[in-house]
Amino acid sequence: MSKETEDRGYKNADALNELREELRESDYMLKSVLELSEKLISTLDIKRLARLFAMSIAGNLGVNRVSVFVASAVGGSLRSIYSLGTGSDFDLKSINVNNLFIKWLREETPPVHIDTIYTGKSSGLLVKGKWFEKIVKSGFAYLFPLQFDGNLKGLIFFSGKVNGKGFDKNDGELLKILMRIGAAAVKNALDFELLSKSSVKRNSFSEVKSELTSRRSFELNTPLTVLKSTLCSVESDAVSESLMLDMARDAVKHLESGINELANIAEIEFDGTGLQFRMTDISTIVEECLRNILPEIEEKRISVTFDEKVFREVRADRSKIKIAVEEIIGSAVKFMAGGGDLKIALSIYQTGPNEMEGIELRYYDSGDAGAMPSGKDIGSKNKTDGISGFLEKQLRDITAGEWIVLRVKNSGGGTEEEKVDETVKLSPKRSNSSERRVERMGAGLFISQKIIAEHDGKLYCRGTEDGGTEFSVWLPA
Amino acid sequence: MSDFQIKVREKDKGKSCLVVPSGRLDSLSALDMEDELTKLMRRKSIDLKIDMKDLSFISEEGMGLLLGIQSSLRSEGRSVVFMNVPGKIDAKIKMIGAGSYFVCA
Repeated sequence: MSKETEDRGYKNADALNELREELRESDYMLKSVLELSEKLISTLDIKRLARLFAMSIAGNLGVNRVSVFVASAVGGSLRSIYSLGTGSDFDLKSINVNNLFIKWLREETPPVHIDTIYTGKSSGLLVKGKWFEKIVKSGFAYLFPLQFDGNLKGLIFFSGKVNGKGFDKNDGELLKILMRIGAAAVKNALDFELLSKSSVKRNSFSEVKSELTSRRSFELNTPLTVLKSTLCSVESDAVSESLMLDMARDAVKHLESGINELANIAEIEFDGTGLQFRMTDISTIVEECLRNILPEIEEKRISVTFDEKVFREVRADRSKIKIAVEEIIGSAVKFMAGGGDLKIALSIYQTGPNEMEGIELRYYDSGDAGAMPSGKDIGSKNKTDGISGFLEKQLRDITAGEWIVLRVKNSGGGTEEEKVDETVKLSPKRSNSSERRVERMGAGLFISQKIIAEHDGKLYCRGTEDGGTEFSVWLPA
Repeated sequence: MSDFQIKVREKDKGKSCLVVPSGRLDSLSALDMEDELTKLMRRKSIDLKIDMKDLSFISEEGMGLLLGIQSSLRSEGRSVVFMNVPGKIDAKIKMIGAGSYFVCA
């Protein structure tokens, strides 16, 4: 065999070995991808998914640190789900990313070397902040965005390979495929998480609504009994006909009002649909509510003052906001001993509520339900469609602009003081039991808060120096 | 059904732990093993020895877990030693370039 033929033979053998190696790597890659798809698709538990995903990335690429952050309900925030290989010192719970960061991330080809963010080599972006320092100090060198349908679902941080070598072409391809599978799986898990939480809230809301409806139904029994007695008396001619007729008219009025309220309560929906907005005068609503609870006010010898400093109408569903206002005034009266003062004031504020207002009564806690803001949505406050939009609306910072504020303040007192304290101290966020919330807060206040929230408003409660309670309703003017 | 099992024995008067996993360390058992090791790692001063003689298979997730455990303990100034690593698993470790990363005995 000539030397030339021999050389050609060696070259062919090398090429064959290279090809064999490439095929082996491709086969390994395909197998890894299929296995990971199978595992990730079979779980909707975001924590479990993050653990599997991180371990898979580490094991496939030979990296020793992986951290998974996913989109949170709070716009611009990503919450930490799981970190592998970081030890107990890594305590980064969430990171805030701004629009500039998201924009920059979209322009980069992942995996992005973290140095390029830190030094701003590619686009002049310099990331500052404690979260970034922690990421770098914890040994992470790369980041890969989890994008699904153009929306950012999460960020995966990982270290370099333990053998000190960089990622080769195959690693890059494998990473891209793994991240695409990961993004789809994370998206599904976040959707599932959001729907589960929404379902729990919907059930709690139904319980509250049912409680209020049955209470109101029970209250309708009183005028009904009066009507029955009147009919009996008129038939037997036992007492003055005109006195009984007056009582009957009064009872009919109460029945009518109660039935209308029941109908209104029945119309309140979990997702805020069914509200009919129009320009509404809150002061006339307050007057009507006071008239409705006049018997109780007179019975308790309560002195009522209504200080009306604003004549502006607000955009509201009149019948629903009336339920809310009546429940709040009714609660204030309920907690009062005989002979106290009930002060109601309606005024306009140029700035939003602050901590002086006391505890914000919130039926829906902010949590981190994973509303999955997309890159373009982060920072946006206008998205209100669907469940994500609904939750975002709950979380929206609406402290700017003019507010119409209704304050209902009682002088508390007597044997009811404990109840007032209970109300003032209540924090729906502290309790997981909707039943307990209903018991402590009162079904009416829950519905009130729900109605006020649907008007983009806020409801606060605080104890006053004289032992009373002040409720304040903030509605955007 | 997974045949994975994990046995833990304290050594050196509680200063170190011998962990003996057996069966297939796949993605599901990797989660179980992590739960078990996390409990041990919460005890601040403890070092780990993982005897792999009875391990018949290790998945990428299992490999990722071992890399993560090694990294976590190192970052806290503690150690983990892998003992009796079977040939097939050793080959897999080398294939992902982690041969020199693990401390094997």
